[in-house]
Amino acid sequence: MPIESNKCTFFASTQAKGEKDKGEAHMRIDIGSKPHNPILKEAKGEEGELDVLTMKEQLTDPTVGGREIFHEELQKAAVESYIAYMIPEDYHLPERYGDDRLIIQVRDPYWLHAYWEITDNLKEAIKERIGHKTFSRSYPILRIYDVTEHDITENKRPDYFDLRINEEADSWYINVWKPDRAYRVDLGLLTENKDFILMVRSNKVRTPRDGFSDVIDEEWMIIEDEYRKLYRLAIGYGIGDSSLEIVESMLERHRREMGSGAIPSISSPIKWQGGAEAKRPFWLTVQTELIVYGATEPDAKVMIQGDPIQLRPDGTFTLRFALPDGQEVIPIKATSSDGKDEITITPVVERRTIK
Amino acid sequence: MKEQGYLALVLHAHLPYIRHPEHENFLEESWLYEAITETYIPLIRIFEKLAEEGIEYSITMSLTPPLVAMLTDPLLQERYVRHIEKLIELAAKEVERTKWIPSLHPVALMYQQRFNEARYIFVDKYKKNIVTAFKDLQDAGFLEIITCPATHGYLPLMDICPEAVRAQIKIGVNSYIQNFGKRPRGIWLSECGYHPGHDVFLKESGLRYFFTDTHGILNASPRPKYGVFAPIYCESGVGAFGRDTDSSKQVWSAREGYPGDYDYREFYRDIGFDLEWDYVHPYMNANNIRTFTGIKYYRITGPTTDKEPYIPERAREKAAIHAGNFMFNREKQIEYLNTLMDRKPLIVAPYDAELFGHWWFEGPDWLDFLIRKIYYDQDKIKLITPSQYLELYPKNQVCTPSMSSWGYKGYNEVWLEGSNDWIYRHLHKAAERMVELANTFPNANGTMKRALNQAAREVLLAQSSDWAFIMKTDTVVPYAVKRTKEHISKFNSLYESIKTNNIDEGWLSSIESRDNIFSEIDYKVYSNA
Repeated sequence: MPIESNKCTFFASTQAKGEKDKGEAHMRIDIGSKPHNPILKEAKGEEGELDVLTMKEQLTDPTVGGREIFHEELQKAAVESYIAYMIPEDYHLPERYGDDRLIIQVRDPYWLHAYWEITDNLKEAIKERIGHKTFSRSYPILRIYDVTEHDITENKRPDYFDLRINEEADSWYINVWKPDRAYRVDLGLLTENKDFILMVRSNKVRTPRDGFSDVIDEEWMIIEDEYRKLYRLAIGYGIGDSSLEIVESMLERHRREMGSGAIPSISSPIKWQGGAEAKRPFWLTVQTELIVYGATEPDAKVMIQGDPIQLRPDGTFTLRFALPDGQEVIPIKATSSDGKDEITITPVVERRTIK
Repeated sequence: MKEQGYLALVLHAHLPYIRHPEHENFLEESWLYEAITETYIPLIRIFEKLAEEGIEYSITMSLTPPLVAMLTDPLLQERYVRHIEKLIELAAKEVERTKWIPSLHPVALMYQQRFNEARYIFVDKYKKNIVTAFKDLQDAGFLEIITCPATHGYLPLMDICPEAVRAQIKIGVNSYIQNFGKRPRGIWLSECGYHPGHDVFLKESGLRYFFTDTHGILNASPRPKYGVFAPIYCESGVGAFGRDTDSSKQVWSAREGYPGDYDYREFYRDIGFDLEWDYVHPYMNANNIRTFTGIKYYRITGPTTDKEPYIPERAREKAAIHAGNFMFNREKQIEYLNTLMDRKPLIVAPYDAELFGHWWFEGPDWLDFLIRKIYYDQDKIKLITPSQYLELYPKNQVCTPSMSSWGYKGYNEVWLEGSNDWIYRHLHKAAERMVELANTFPNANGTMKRALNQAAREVLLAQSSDWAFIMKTDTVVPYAVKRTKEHISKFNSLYESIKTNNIDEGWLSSIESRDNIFSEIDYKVYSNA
């Protein structure tokens, strides 16, 4: 079915602009411990076992958990300046390549993206041809043709609709409403008298189908009911009954939830979670560590709390311990290489946290 | 054959080409190092152990050309050794530091052991080239390694220049032949991005199959009789396999997947962000920024920022249970499918390899348990590769898959939206100019030939889908923007200097050594004359 004619009511458009969905890629997945599966619901046994192991233990030592030392926004700024510092070269891309061209690409079944470039030469030539006055009173439009049935030819013009665009724009998202159709776009000027002056014509694209094909191959036919069951299962809704339309809409949901980018398979080596979690209330975190250091004869043997340690070549040593609440008795015993002399020094350290 | 159906596990291993010889340390190179320690080596370990124990299994794995190029690059290999040695040093300090905290100490010991093992496998066993480990596993019949477009270019948004699509595929195939000593049978299209007609280029390169997301097959025309549970043939004769949703969701889904289990290791709580600056900063790959070290002591715990210590044995036990659960669900699926299908059904379950180990720490254990359980505990399902399935069922329905990807919303939007749409006018122009150059200089020699080959490398590097992806996901955006501009800009300079026959040999040498991917490239792949 060709598109109905050039009425503005059945299209919409957005100008190219940022539409970032922050936090999408680095979503934390700490919700829910149970794998959910519709098929499994009907079977007993394994799902039960999963519950048994869900952790119920409480944190026994408050000095163990704590929170991270991390400030998301500062971190992001630091990474940006790091990259600017590491790659100081500033490469400039040409704003124009000196072409008259319009390229369209498919974004999804309902949207196209168009970008273009028009040379001053072409503009001047058109201005000469239609006259300065007409030129100044016309405005640029995109004319979107549905070329599914037949392409644009001298004597036959397929159905189209027009989209008024900004003078300065060089790209546009076009909502074409109908999936599984072929499109071609003209960029031109619409004069006061509604004459269309073509500047440049695009390539042809076809939007994908947004549902199941109606074409059935006789050699590979099965009954409708079995399609339904197979397709329903394919989308992950287990065994059950629903119309093919419902199965299609489930597929739509599935596509939104399952995409690559839902989980950071290549996550940034820096931490960047984005989203709401970044905003935490005022906070303070305090941890303590204890450094034990000393020196003895370089060839002596030194034990700390019964474990041997390695001395540096000059006989010094340094040890670092995370210090939890409570008392630590830390005997350090040095024995001379001939085993004749032995000295033990025992620091006793206590950490007590008052909140 | 008593099995009633098949499961094809597909692991897609990919990282963008990041190599900065001009810097001693470079933050983004850590992507590779982390993936080696946390994903590739653990996978090699389990695959080899299974093989040693005589357990039969078949896994399909794509190793993308940029990843293989990095894994075989001597500079990056040396840097990985330096990286793992520093980690071993840090782990030893951690073992000492956690001595008085009994809940963390065993976890520190676990890391120490794993890092030592990683070093052993990387340095001693495989002489710094772990690609040979995967190659050996393929030669022994356990893995079927497939290729990928040259730089993981997103092909549906390259359709305007078919020569560019063809070049991505041909170079992907050539790089595979060079590394694995035979032709690849299948290809993983970057981001599962399929545009009708591109199968013709696969056919030209001798590829027999590719994968699409679920709706690529379900929305194919004519309507595929078996849905995604059997492959279809494109008109070119190339097979298309569709992703099963249920098996994907259990591993991928943020809401319902296994990796969100409270017992599993928390990815974000890393000592790089938790410990005192003077202590950790020598281990940061970027001098003044906190980064991940890979040492993480906590489990997911629940929807709270106060995390509890990780208990390795408990997590392992959970991985075993989840593997059992996964297998059980596949058995149920197969049983049900058998009531609807007149052939043995196939379930295709593709995942990003880096999900296993890197993001889902217990993922490799899960995979290990799953393979064992499938082998020992049941006889309804069997692991299979797409090639093996095509041998069993060489006759398949002919349909045209629908344009699709596995990106958010299922089409091209992830790579074509407000943050990244500006790149295409440059990418397309560069591709068009590359074709022009290849046609203009059909028999270049010497410096001219080198310049043309380098121009092809720059086009390819600019085309990596990763840059647009990073811009969209808002992580290290400035890096992705710089990389895109850098390669386009270098290409444009090469284009001008080739056209005017005015090539600065010194400059050419410097960018050749910097962007050194595909040493065997032949620019004539872009010719359409």
